[in-house]
Amino acid sequence: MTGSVIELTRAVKRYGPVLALNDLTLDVGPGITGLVGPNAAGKSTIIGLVTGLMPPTAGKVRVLGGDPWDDTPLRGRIGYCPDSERVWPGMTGRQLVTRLGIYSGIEPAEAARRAEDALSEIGLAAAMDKPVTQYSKGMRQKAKLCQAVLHRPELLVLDEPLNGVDPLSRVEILKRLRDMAGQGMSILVSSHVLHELETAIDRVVLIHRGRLLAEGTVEEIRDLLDEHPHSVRLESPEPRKLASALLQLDGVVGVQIVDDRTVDATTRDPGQFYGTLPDIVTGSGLTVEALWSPDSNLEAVFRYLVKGGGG
Amino acid sequence: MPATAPLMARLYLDTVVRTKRTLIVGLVLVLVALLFAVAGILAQGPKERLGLYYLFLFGGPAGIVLQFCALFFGAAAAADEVENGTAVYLLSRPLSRPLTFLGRLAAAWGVLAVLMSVLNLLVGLFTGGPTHLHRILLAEIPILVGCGVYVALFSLLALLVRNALAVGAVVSLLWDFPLSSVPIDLHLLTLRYPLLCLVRGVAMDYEDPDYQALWSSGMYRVFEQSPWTSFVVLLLAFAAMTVVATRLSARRPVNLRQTQ
Repeated sequence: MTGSVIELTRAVKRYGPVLALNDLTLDVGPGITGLVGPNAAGKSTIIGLVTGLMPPTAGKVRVLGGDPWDDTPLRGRIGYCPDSERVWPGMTGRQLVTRLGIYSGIEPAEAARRAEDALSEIGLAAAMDKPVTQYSKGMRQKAKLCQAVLHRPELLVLDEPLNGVDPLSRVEILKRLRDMAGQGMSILVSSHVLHELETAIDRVVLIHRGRLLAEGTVEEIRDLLDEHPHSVRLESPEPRKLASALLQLDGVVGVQIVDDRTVDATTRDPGQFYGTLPDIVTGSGLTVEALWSPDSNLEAVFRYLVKGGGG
Repeated sequence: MPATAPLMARLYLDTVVRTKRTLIVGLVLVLVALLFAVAGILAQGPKERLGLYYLFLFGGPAGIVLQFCALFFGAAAAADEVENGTAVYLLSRPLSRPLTFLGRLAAAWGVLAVLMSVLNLLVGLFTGGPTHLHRILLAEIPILVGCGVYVALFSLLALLVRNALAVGAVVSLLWDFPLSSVPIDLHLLTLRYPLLCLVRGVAMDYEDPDYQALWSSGMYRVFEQSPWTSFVVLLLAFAAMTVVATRLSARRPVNLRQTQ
């Protein structure tokens, strides 16, 4: 596919008195695009507009040539992986993925077959008949990813898919996104941390306070952000061992044990940090159960960019 | 495109059955049936037992139970997916939004209709007995109509206000139930009044002197109406509420910040 996949033209979105999107014009093409911004920047609002969950207050939204709010069949060409952790009570991974596949227009038997294949491929074969509410964060994200792509959409939209996910699951999810993009799927993925996406994405859109702040290739945007120290919070049953392993990483300038499960690390080279962390974890036999990049990172960078320091 | 309404009806049934509210509703219905069973056993003779059935239909129990069950199931049809944060999965699919709502509304009506029909049948048999089976079965017609009307009312309410259960309880307790029994024209502004007319018209033998004696000092203008008038009024009310609720539901956006 060539040309625009997503077009927002002077899009405005208000929630009562709150202005979530402010006259935003955006053109997203094929490939993987990262939608990056701090909390309340407007990322979820853009995703809501693109997936047809809400109409704009003003302006125009076109996705794959149609209006996702009014065009019901069009939504069958879009896959959506929400940030929300909530699913129907008691529903297993297999039931969730199968049922949502059926809702996307797949025949029930075919949906069941595809769900089993997809969950097995992504490493949830043993857990697919357990309730999703018993899944770890990483397992839930994988199940949500499966439901989003079961109907083989042309556009996949993911809202913070790596938030809180353990390092190995991150690698798997990013690899899966690259594979899907290689097969021609366009992908829009949001995050409040550019560095966790940068190995997978082609282009970056920076959003701040409902406005487009910058857009470009990963390299262009990274140059703007890398001057700032970046902190990462990790959860592990062995925080001391983890802290000492982290200090071996190039670019790590500080490590702090917060409590008996939590370690904070500060790095000046986030790209390398996220790239080598899985190897360190597996090589040293450590367990990292969750990984977050606090939103304050990006807030600091955005304050810097808004002031014009980024050029 | 998937067959939206049946899929959404099935999802509603699958999820609503697992909720505590359904257990509470079920327990209330069992309790009501047991009370009337005991009263039927203790009653002196067939006339008194039939009077108990009239009491069930007209005196409040059927109406109150129906309204409260409709409140639970109707509000769930309109608001559960949004409140549970699962609406994002449904509304981002190629599912028709009006049919999503109508499928859930139909399922809510179906659950309520089955529960209330069984309750009516049990209470009718425990009190009036098999000799009045034709009346008991005819009374199912207004009960089914009432289930539809009240489910539509409370689902509409759930789309209009945040705390639909509390507001619905107020509507039932302070408006619909008391005003349907007052002998002034305000009862025309309730749904229960035409429903009582319908029950009276299709299921009761109002030439029966025993029946007249039992109910000669109560809600009296109910009996002035033709059942067809009541039926048409209820049908129009149902259609109007369903149309408005469907339109509201179809145009209601999902705020992603509230689902996280």
